[in-house]
Amino acid sequence: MTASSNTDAGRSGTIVIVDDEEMVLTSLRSFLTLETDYEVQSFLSAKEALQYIGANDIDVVMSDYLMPEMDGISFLAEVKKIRPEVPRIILTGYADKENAIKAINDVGLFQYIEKPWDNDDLLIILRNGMEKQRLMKKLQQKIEEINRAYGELEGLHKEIVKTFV
Amino acid sequence: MSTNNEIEKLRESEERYRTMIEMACDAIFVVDAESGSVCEVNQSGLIMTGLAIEEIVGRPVWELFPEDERDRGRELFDTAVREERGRRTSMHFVRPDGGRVTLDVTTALMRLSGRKIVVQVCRDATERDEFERQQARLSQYYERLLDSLPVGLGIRAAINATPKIEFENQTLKRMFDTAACKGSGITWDACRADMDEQPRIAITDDGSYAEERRLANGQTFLYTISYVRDLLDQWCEVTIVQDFTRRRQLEDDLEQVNRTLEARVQERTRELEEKQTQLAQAEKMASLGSLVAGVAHEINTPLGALTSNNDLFIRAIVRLKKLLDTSEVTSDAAMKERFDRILDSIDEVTSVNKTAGERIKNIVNSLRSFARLDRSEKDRVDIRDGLESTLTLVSHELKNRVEVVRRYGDIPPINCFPNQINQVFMNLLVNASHAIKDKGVITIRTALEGGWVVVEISDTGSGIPKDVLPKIFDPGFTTKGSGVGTGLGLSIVHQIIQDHGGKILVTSKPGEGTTFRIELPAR
Repeated sequence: MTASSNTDAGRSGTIVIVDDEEMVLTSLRSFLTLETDYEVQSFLSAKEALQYIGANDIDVVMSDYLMPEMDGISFLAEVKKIRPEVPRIILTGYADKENAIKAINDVGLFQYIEKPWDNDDLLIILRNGMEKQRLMKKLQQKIEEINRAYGELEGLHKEIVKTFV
Repeated sequence: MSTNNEIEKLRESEERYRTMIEMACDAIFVVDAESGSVCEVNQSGLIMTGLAIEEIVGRPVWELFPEDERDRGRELFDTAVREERGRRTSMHFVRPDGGRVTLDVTTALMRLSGRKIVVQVCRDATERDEFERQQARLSQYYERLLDSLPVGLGIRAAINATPKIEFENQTLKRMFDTAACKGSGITWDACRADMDEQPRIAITDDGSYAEERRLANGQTFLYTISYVRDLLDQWCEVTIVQDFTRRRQLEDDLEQVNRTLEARVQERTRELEEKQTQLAQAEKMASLGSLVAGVAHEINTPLGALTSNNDLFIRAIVRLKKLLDTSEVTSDAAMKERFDRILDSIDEVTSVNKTAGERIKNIVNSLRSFARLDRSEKDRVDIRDGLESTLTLVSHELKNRVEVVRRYGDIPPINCFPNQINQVFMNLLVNASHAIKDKGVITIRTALEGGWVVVEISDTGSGIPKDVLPKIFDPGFTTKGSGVGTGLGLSIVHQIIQDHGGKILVTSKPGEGTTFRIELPAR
């Protein structure tokens, strides 16, 4: 990665990371800080992360699978309820792929990353996530615009009818 | 005087004789041999006939009998006169009360004072006849009784050269009245001749002895023989014969059933033992599986941090180098040299770190794929992948000591339980490695041979002695000494291959090495 890529539009946004291991959070935070312009919000507790997500605008959420208080799947299911448009990523060291895949289908994950992860892969996945989020936002915006235009048209239509009838 | 004396003696003698006749219980008639008429009759004669003496004396003696017996009476008398000797016969007689009785009549010709007389003695034989009839009935009763016995009973006269059969009951006759016996001329007392084996003999408590006789036609008889004295005080042999054919057959059947049952029990026991071994193995695999899952998770998390951090170092160094290239700090050649040395040594170790991280990752992956946590069910896999995973795990056993030669031929993926097949490879590879005492080679060959996927694992180790070779797949057999091996390894290998519908063969030469050949259906 080059320094110039820091200005890449796809590399800005807010990412929430949850893992019960401080070392993982530190590694990810340090790496993303070095390589991207993302604002990284990291949490050791899923519940605290949920509070933050409820109160702030975020673009991507990434969580560990096995955690003591609340596991990654339950956590992401909660996130889906609050912010369905936010891409959800699970980062797991757990080897039971079958269960993980089942979980992915249940929660509708955007991506599944195995520990130890590859930083290049991680960057691509995050960037794609951000892109998706951006497109989703844009789509939402367009829909709203269309709705507004439709509303205006509706008003216009009424006025025309009123005028002629 | 002498004459008087003689006359006196004669008179006394006659008196005695007369008294004897009078006193006799039998009726006695003295008959004139010439005329056949009765001269004298005693008291018993009067009572028997119920006539007065005048009615008897002078009458022909045969007229005393009823009409239908008179001819015989006459004949009796005539015979007595003619033959001049005694004769006895039975005659019917009608008593004065009209009752018909049997008389034992004895006639004898005598000479009395030069005169021929016939003495006819009549004895009432009714009681004797009745007694004889009773005896006969009793005898018949006993015979019927013996005939009704459910066992054969035969009596032979005392043991001598040709014992005579004195009695055999109906049961005994029926027993040997079969077509088979008749056809081969077998009788109960001679059946010994046709025996196809030595009789089983047992002496019983009461002194008799029993023996079982089996005929060639399959019939079996139990003989119980005892000795008693007969009516004449002679020893005779009493043989009781029981048909044991059915019982012997049942006993034989029972024995057969027992044997079958025993064999089945043994079979079941063996199956159970195998199942137990399998279960123990499955449990081991399951616990290994969860262990591996836990270990993988525990390792992967810090490993993730380490590799990520190392990657960060690498990237940071790249950036640092670029920064330094454009920086004034490195315009000084000596300074640049010092910076480069520091950065190069960091480069070097981060590259080592990266390799080390990769290796840890590979080991964990091998462990996972060995236990096939993600695939504990049947799956189509290329077993060469399993061989490779397993080799990674046993590499510490082989390192610098055993060279592994891979001669992998093309094989199709096969339907199997990958974790079980890997377990087989693990066992065989570890055994091969243990067989190589110092340095050696393990050759792994795979090939597709006529519908079978073949895997051969050969070592250049010490080999297996000939006497041990047939036992190596037996559960519990080990040469490793207590505490080293469970002795279950190869039996599990055998079981797993069998469960997969395959075969495992072993060839070995002591001192040269061993080859295990696994054949699995390619399907």
